[in-house]
Amino acid sequence: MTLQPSRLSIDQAPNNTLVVEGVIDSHTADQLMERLRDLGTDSDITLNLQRVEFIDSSGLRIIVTSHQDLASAGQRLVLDGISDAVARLLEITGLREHLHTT
Amino acid sequence: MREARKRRPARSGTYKGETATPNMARHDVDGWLQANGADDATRRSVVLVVSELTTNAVQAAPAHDYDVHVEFTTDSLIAIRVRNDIITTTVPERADWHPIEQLAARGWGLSIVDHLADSVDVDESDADTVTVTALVRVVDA
Repeated sequence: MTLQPSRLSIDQAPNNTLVVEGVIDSHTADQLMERLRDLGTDSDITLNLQRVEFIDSSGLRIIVTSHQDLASAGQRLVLDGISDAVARLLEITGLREHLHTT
Repeated sequence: MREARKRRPARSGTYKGETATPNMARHDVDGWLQANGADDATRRSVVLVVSELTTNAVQAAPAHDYDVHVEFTTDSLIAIRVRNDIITTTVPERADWHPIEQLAARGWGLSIVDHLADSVDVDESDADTVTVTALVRVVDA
């Protein structure tokens, strides 16, 4: 396991996809929320989390909030390419079965 | 002859109540874990517990210093102790640690700590501070 500094990079990819890399914690979570809100709720959003090195409940808050915002608009937040850190947190909380994953 | 238990030094640190500092605490504790030969699975659990407890500490007392102490209490148990002032919020009752809704956006922090730790103790005997101590079992002891 390699802990990275608390930094987050978010790149826009085709098909309303955000590619997230780094750390999602209390310091960086709002950056992700802002980028998700920028995409609106008119269509599905895919969040590629393959390169997320660390995530805690602050990141979980953003994922669930965005999931709920999109669901209210009849759209989906799809979690794609889940990293080990993300998978572990979803397993601990039992949230994986309630979210859309690929 | 039974091998004597390895003596491993504890680690203590004080951090500012800012959102950037849980990352510092995680790094400091992870360095201590590596120096003491902890396995990856144990490191992941302890670092996540530190993140949740320090994030709570910052939320409870923004701009106030908080303390993080880690030590091996035995060869197979690591104690993580976070002490912070009580300014905006305190630790909820244990019955409220787990979100009621399946798809709750908030309230997972202590639930995660409770899942990863063998035990979690909350000491509010001092009216102005709260100390949360989580005991995490070493996976590869």
